[in-house]
Amino acid sequence: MQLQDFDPEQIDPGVALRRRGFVGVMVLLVLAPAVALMADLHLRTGYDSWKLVHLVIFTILFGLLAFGALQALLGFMLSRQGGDACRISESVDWTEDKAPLRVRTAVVMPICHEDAARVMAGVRVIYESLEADGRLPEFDFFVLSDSTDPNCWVAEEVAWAALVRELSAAGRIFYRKRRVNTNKKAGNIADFCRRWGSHYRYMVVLDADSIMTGGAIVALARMMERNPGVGLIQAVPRLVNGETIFARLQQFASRLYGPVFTGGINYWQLAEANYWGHNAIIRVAPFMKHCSLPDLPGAGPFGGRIMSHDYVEAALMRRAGWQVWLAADVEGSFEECPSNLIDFAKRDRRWLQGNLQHARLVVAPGFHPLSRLHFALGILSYLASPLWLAFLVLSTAIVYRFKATGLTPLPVDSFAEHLSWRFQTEAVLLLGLTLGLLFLPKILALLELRARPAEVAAFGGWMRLVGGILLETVLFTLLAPVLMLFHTKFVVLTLLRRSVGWKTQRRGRDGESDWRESVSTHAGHTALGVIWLALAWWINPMLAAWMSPILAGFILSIPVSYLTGCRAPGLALKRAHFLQTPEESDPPAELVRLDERLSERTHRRTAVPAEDDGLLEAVTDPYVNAIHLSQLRAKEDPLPANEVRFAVLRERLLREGPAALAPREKLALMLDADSMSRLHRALWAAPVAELAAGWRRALERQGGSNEGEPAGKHGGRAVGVENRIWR
Amino acid sequence: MEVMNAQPATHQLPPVPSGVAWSVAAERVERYLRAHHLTGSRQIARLTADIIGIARARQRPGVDPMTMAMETVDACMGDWFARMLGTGEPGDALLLARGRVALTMGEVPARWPEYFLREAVAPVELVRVMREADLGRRPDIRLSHMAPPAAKAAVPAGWLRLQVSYRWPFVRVVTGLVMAISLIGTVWAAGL
Repeated sequence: MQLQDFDPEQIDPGVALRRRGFVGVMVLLVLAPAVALMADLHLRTGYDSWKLVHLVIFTILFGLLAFGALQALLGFMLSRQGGDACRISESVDWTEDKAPLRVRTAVVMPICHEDAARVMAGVRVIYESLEADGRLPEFDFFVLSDSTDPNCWVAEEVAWAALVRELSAAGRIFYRKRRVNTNKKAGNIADFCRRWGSHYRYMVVLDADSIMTGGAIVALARMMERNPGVGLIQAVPRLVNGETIFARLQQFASRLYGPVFTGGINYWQLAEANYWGHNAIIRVAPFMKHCSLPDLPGAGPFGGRIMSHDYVEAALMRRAGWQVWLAADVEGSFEECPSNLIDFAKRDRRWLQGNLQHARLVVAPGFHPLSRLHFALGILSYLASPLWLAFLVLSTAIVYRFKATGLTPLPVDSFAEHLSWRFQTEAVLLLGLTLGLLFLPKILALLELRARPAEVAAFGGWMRLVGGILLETVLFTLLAPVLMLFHTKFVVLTLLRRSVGWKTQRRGRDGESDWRESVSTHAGHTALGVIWLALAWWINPMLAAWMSPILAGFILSIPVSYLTGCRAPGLALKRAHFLQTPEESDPPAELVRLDERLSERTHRRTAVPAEDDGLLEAVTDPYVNAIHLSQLRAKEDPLPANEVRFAVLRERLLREGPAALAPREKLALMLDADSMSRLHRALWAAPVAELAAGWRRALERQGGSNEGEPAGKHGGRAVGVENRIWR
Repeated sequence: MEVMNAQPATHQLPPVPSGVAWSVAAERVERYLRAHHLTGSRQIARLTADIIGIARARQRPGVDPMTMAMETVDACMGDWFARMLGTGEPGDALLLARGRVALTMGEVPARWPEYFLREAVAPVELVRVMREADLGRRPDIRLSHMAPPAAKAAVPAGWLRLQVSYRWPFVRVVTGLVMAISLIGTVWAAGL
C-alpha cells in the first residue's frame, strides 16, 4: 500500500496550535468591533447595570455566532483549495487499498423501545450493502436491546428472527436483551464490550435510525487499520427520510450548509474531534480500557450517571492518548431526525440535561483542552437559549427605562466620535453585521455549489434551491424563538433538579404532529408572545417592530408547529421537489431498499398492538414462545422461594389474565425461561373455562382459520405484536 | 405414514371420558398444529386423529383428555425434534423450544409438511436446515474488564453546584422566588 502524504501520527503539534490560534484571533477580530458598537450605543444613552449585563450577554451570543460563521468560512475556503490536507481520509490510498481487512468488526445497534420493524429494516439494509461489497465475513451485527415494554421486546425478537431467517444470517446477526438496564445506552455498549468486545478489533456504533452503506463502514475500518494511533473516527450522518416540513427543513439545511461547516470544524479539531454517539467506528480495546464512564459525585441532575456519554467517551479516549477524528468526507452515513418541533424539543431536553452535566467535567483533571472546549460548547449550545431570552428581556427593559426618562437619544458623544457615526448608523451597522454572520453560511454554501452544477440539479435547480433557502430562513426564524423558550424551560427544570426520563424518540412516519399536543404545548408561548407584543408596542412601536420576527414565532407557534409537523404538506413540497436534497433526488441504493421495506411494512400493518399483546403472543404462539425462550438463560440452580413465587404468578396470569399482574411481575415472568415454557404448555392444555378472557381470545387467534385456509385470515393475528412483522 | 408414537401404550385403556371431551381435545390439538403454520387440512386432520388415538390409548385415570392430548403432542414433537436435531431428550422443554425455532427458521411446515411429525425418513436437506437453525448461537462470551479509569476522583467534588439542595419542594420554590426577586431588586436599585 502506498503511504499517503498525511499521517495523523506524524502531525506537527504546531499545526494544530497555529490553526486554533488563527480561529481564536479571527473570532476576536469579528467580535471586537461588534462589541464596541454595542458598547458605544449604550454609552451614548448612558450606562447602567442593565446595559452592562446586556453587553456581557451580547458578547457571549455574538461570539458563538461569529465562531459558527467563521467555521463555515474556513470550510468554504478549504473546499475552494481542494480540501484540507489534514483529513483522516487523506491517510489512505483509496485507489490501491482494496485488500481484505482481515480484522473482525462488530456493528452494534443499541435500541430501547424503538419500532422493531424499522430497526431490523435498517440492519437488513446495512447487512445487504456489506454483502454486496463482498465484505460480510469481516462483520458481525449485534442488536442490543434495553426495551422493557413486553410489546417492544417481543416485536424485536420476532422481527430479528424473521430477519435472520430471510437473510440466512444465523450466527451473523445477534440479538441481546439486557436483564438490567444499567447506565442506559452507554451501559448497553459497555455490556457488549465486556461480553464480546475481545472478539473484535473495532465496533461501528449505530443508532436505531442509522443507516450506513457497506462502503462507508469499510472506509472507516480501513482508516482505522491505516492509523493504529486513532481510537475513534466519527462519520458525519446526513439527515434523510424526512416527510414533514420540519424534518425536510432540517435535512435540507444540514445537507446544504453541512459540508462547509464540517470542513471548518475539522480544520481546528484535527485529532481532538468529538464523538456524537453513533455512525462512528471505535477501537474496542482502548475503549474498554479507558472509556468506562465514572459516576459523577452527588445525585441527579448534575451528579450520578453521565447521560451524554459520547462527549465524555471521546474525551476519555483522547486523555488516554488516542486520537479522535471527524471523517467529514465519508459518503454513505445517514440518520433520521424528529418529525416535528415538539419531538425535537423532547429529544433536546434529554441532551440538554446531559450536556449541562458536563459542567462538572470541564475542569476535571487530565482532559485535553479541546475536550474541555467541546464540553463548554455543548453546554453553551443550550445555555445560549436562556441567554438569548435574557438578552431580549433586558432589551425590552432598557428601552422601557429609556422611555421612562423622557430623554431624546444622543445625550452623550460616542467614544468613536472621530468616525462621525450617528447613533442610527451604528445601530444599522450592528444589525448588518449580525445578519451578515447569520446569512454568511448560506451564501458560502451557494457559492460552493457553483462549481458543482450536477449537485445543484440534485437540489432541484437554482430556483428551488434559493426558494428553499428563503423558506427555510422564514420558518427557522419562526421556530427558533420557540426552541429558545423550550430550552430555557428545560434549563430551569434541570436546575430545579427535575430529572429527565429516557423517552423514546418517534421517528419517520410515526412522528406526525398531534393537534391537541400542539395547542397544549404552545398555548403558553402564544400568550407570552401576545403580552410581549402589547408591552413592546406600548413602550415603543419601533421596539415591537424590531422584535416582531421573534414575537411572531411565539404568537404563531401553534399553527407553525402543527403544520410543519404534518406529513401532507411536507409530502406536497417533496412532490414539488422543494427542499429537495441529493439523497432524495438520487437516493443511494441502501435508502431505496429501506424505503421499500418500510412501505411494505406500512401496507401490512393493520392494528396497533394492545397493552399485553406481547406477553400474550410470547405465551400463546408456539414460534414466538420458542424464539423468546431461545434468548433466555436457563437457571442452573433456581431458588425454591422464587419457584414458588413464579408458580403463583403463572397461575394468576392464566386464570385472571395479564391485567391482574403488575408490570414488573409480568416482566419477571418473561425473563424466566422455565415460566415461559410452563406457561405455554399450561395454556394449551387448559380447558377454556379455566382461562381468563384475554387468553381465550389469544387462543382463538391461533390457528383460527377454517379448513383449507391458511392460518391468520379469520381474525387470527389480526391484532398482535407479531402481526406487524411476522411472515 | 403413522405419526411418531412417543411411547408404546403398554397399560390398559382407562375408562373413556365422554366423546365431547375428546372432541374438544381434538379441536385444541388441531388448533395447536395450525398455530405451527400447517395449512393442509387433510394432513392436519390425519395428524390430529393419530395424536388423539395415541392419547386415548395412553389415557391415565384422573387426567382429562385435553391435558392428555397436549401431553401427547409434546411427546410426539419431542421425539421428532430429537430425531431431526440429533440431540436432546424427548421430554426436555428446551428441546421443544429449539425444535420449534428450527421449524420456523427452516420454514419446515411450508417446505416439508408431509414429513412433520412422521416416522418416515426425513430428507437430508430437512435435517440439515433444522440442525443449522439455532437462534441461541452467539460468539463465546469472553468476559473482559471495563471499569471507570479514574472514577469519582476525576471530578472535583462540589464543582459547580448549581442546584439548591433543599429537601422540600415548597421551600425550594419559595427560596428560588425570594432570590430571584432580590436579584432583580438589587439590579434595579443599582441602575437607579
